[in-house]
Amino acid sequence: MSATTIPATPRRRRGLGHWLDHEQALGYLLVAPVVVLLLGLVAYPFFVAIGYALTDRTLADPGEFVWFDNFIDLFDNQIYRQTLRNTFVFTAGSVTMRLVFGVGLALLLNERLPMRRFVRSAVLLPWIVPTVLGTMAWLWLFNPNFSVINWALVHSGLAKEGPNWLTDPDLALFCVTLVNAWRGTPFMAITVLAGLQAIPIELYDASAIDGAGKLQRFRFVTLPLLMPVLLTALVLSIIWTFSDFGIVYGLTKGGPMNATHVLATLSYQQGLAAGNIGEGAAISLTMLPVLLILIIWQLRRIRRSTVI
Amino acid sequence: MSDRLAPGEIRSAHPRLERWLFVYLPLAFALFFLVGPFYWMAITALKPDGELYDGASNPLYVVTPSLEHFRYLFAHTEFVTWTTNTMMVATLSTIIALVMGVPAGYALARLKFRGSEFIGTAIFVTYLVPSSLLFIPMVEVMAQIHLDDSIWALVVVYPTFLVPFVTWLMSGYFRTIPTELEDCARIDGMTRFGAMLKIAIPLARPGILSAGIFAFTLSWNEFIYALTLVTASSERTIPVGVIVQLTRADFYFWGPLMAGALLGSVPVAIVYSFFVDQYASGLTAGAVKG
Amino acid sequence: MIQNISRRSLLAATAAVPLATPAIAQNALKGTKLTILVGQFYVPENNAQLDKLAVDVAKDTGMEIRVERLAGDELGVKTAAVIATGRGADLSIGVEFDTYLYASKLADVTDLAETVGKQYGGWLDVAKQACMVGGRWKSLCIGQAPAAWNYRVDQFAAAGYQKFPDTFDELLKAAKALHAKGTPIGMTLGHASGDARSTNYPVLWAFGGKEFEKDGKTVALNSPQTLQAVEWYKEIYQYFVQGTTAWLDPDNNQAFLSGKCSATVNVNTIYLASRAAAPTNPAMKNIMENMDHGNWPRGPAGRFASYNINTWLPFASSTNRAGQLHFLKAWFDQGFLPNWTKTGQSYFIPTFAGFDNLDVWPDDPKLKIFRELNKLNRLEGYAGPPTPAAAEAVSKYILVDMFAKACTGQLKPKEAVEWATKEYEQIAKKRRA
Repeated sequence: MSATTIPATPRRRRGLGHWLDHEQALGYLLVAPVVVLLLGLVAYPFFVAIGYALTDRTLADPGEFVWFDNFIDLFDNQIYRQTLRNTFVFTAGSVTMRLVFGVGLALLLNERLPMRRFVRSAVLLPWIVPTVLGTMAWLWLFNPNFSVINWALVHSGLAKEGPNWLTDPDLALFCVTLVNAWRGTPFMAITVLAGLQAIPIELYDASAIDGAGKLQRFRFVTLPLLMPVLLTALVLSIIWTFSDFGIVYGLTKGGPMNATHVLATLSYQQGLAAGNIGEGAAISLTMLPVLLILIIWQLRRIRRSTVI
Repeated sequence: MSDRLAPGEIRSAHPRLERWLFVYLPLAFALFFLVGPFYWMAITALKPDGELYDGASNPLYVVTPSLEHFRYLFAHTEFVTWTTNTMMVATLSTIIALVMGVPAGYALARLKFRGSEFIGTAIFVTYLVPSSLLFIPMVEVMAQIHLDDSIWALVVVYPTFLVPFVTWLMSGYFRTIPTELEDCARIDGMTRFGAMLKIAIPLARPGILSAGIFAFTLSWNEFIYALTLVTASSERTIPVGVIVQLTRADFYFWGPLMAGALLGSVPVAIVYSFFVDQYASGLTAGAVKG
Repeated sequence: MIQNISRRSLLAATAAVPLATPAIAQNALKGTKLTILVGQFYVPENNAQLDKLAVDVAKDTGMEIRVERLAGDELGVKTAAVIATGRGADLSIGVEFDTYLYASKLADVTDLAETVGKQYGGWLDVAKQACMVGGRWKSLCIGQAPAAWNYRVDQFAAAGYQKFPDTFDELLKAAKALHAKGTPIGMTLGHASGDARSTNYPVLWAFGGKEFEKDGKTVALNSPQTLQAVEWYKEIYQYFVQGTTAWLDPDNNQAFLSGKCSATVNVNTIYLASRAAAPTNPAMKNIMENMDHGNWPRGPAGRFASYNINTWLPFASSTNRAGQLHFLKAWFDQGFLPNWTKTGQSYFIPTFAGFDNLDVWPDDPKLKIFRELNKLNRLEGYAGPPTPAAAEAVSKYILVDMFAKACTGQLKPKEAVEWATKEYEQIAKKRRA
């Protein structure tokens, strides 16, 4: 939306006043701090990291350029390939869960509820608690020795022995996915709730008059109008999950047998624990193609929906 | 959703039952899943060590609740210091992010200047660069500006992941505010800058609040930069302090750990409960038009 | 001037430390700064003693000493940052690989090493392996944390074993018997930064397996001996307690202390924890009274162990080299180190041959075995030196995963060995050293 509909200002300004009114200058002035910050503290380190990825630099030794060897070696390595697969499964799984739980929860929160404020803030807790600390709680819940979940299953007679939550490779991957979904559901729910509340009630009434039942109303009124919000939340969720570090690091450190390693944790392990800065940077960089595709898609969608 | 009956719609024979089945029961499950772990946190934080590590004890409740873990947290660790540190970093970072991001969002939404679309895209793209890629070069950059190993490094670095989001959210939000009021003000002689300051920003308060809450939460939670850029125990933030002091390679102090986790989240949740409604509305506009 | 030391820890320090400081060069140190990065020693008094030493040295020399205490992983990360940027600290504590990893960025401390070695009857071989690169000392070994077999005497007796098994065959049979009695043993097969190594490398070596040839470059893992080790492990795994492949460092402690596991490999922290809690906690008292430490069993190729080693890393980038040396000298001083060792209850034992004759060993009979264990250590990377390649293999948990994959049936034993060999070869290719 622009301001070109007003007639030209009658007065001619001098000095600072002129510049504070000049569209171009003001524009640059207002974005300048952000641009400078991001150039210096994101763009610059980013290019440094790319530089690292093209070398065999270690913590002690600047190394020399090996160009794409790091990347070639990665794809030849079983642990990396497994990690890549894990990251996709982890992301797909937890984002789907977040979506389903989030939309469901938003629908529930939209109802008239007793103690609404309490419920709405209680629901935010998984998102507020610092990731590592929340993960510690789940570590306790899944603990091979003290798992409360297993205790409950055994004592209620549902199972002879609790499942090996973090011991079995597939179960462990499920666990980290679940914890990540747990963390992200509140944000998804609140965002979708906001979107739900923006839907005018008249539309529901109109569709009801046309004979639509509750389910149909959801499918044909709610969902389409919710789409923009959902897609945005979805893209953000994917981006954050794909590059997530804290959950796997806190819960399994990538084990058992690398079954839960994701790109971020493998990069940390290789970059710092093993000291291979070049390799660590390369692993992180392989995240970018996926992220870039998502971002381009999101931007295209935004551009289509905004009319300037 | 509307409760009113449409013409032709049959009133349900058991409205209360339906409400229980479709609203209260699912809600109970949702709350159990989301808030349940905090219940265990609380139980663990209140169970004395003797009971905690006894394999036979019932994990669902505490037989002899004790405040020993909380006492340990306050007496043997610098929890209070960590809390003030975290508060300071989160607050300052949020303020910086808002001061930088709100005007930038306004500029991208309202002002036409060459390259604005490119800059907008670029700002959003930087958001993609994950901290797991940046943090080693970041240590070197901080060293170059002599901020390494200081809590002020966090105040400088956190805005890098807060500002893009704030800018993006606010630019979307400003786009949903009609321009008429600003136009009138400009006709009356106000500068564009004045119009932004005195008209647009006050109107955008819900959006700014949302952005602020979001920024605060992200700062509060951040771990990896806090871990590597700060080592002095007196300058640590809560997540790092709790993990570092309460886990020795071989041993987790579960009691105090959970106590710390609780204290590090419940108060913030209480504060948020006052803003949650505005937060929701602020997000809509920003997210929809994003 | 000291920062970050609480009054409580100062008061808790038990020993008065007389310093044999040379009068010369003391004035030169006045006003200079020294930053030391340390971790948390398990025994709290050890931490307090270090802090007090720093206070005393500072007072003596007029230096400004800052001790920053970090934990585990974080210490390694911070050290890495100091290496990368060349600033932030003068001294830090590292592990056995750090000397090789950071050799070019560490100061040469050969003179001090030789003096100190003479003081205490000579360094053990393992210290020379861990601290010398290219014939020069680049770090000084603080000590090693021996890990023993912690076991429940009562439960082993009930299964028919009056002593801890002395051979791998016996251990296998014992595990089976204990499992039948509902009191299984457990060996850490998860990505535990300490226990995974101390539990699993000795198994490989006991059967004669090795990672590298003497040159440290040729991968020697794929051998019949390694396969034997893997097959032994696969057999004993079925008798383990649940969960071992997910065990991180605290998990085997927890399992043992809660009575779920009858034997595991660990440093003496399990025993010390039970001893500390015994007065107020009957369950812990029971564990303390019924447990003991056993030596590693003998395999076809011998008896071996693998411990964490800590070293003092002197950064070459430090602007206060004289201060570094002064502090290190004070640390190894005869008025400090033996006392510090004794307080440590054999959790951490300096690597000197002469310590056998000094009064540094704890009185508790259950800790006596650590004196013997101190001599068993072998470094990872065998038969080569602890190279960066060996270090990377450790941090990638290749050996542990090799055993785990075979045990859980994910791969057949031969496949597991081949998988591990391929990983090692890829690592060796990357690391030219």
